[in-house]
Amino acid sequence: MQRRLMLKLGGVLATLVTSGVVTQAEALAAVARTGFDSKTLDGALAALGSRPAASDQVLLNTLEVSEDGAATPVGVLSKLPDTTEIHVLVEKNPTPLAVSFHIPAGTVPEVNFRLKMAESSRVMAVVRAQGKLYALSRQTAVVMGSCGG
Amino acid sequence: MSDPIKIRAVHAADVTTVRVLMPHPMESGNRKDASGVLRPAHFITDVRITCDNVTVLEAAFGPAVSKDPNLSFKFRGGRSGSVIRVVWSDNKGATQRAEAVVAA
Repeated sequence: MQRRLMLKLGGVLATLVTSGVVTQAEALAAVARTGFDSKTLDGALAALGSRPAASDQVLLNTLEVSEDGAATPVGVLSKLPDTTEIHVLVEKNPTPLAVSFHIPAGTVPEVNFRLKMAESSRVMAVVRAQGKLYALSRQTAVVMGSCGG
Repeated sequence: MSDPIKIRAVHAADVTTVRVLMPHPMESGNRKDASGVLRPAHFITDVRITCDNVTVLEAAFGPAVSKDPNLSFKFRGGRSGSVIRVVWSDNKGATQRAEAVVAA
């Protein structure tokens, strides 16, 4: 019985290796998950550090009206020198902090992706540049919300 | 097992543009199935993208990133022929990776 189990496990492992699944060590979490558990925007911001200063050097590209809350396109570009982090928060989602990026030197501080929005909400881009937090917010109306959050 | 990650990387004018599609259910844990039972959370938590083994972008995802996450960004220092590698891991401990060569 045990031998049979071992053989089975061996087969599974071989399948994992050949299908490109990698070891946990290779995919080690490098970006801190600080703030992802916070249920409020203020809580998430507090977890990121200080309260961000409003800045027009942070560009946030969202839709004014999103037809599909399950996939709202979001783009963030920081024009601030030495931008090392980009975070995006959706105020009315169950947990507002949606995503955090670490931007190494050489990478353009611009990311584009899609987010779920539970309902119409303020979307906030927060960047860390030269150690300080800066933010820009935009309101996005959601026609059909995602219960996803 | 998710479908393979798709990567498109193009180098032009000293900048490499990368577009990644990572098939994944991205279940938030807040949705219920037809019988009213909560579907357990199942989402990508970490993504690392390297160019010739040098990290060019790292991300932490929450469950609010859309199903089948796509991501695009640009970096300097790559060249045509460089190898872009994408690795993700999810909240259930699964990981997946893919590689692509930067096109001119």
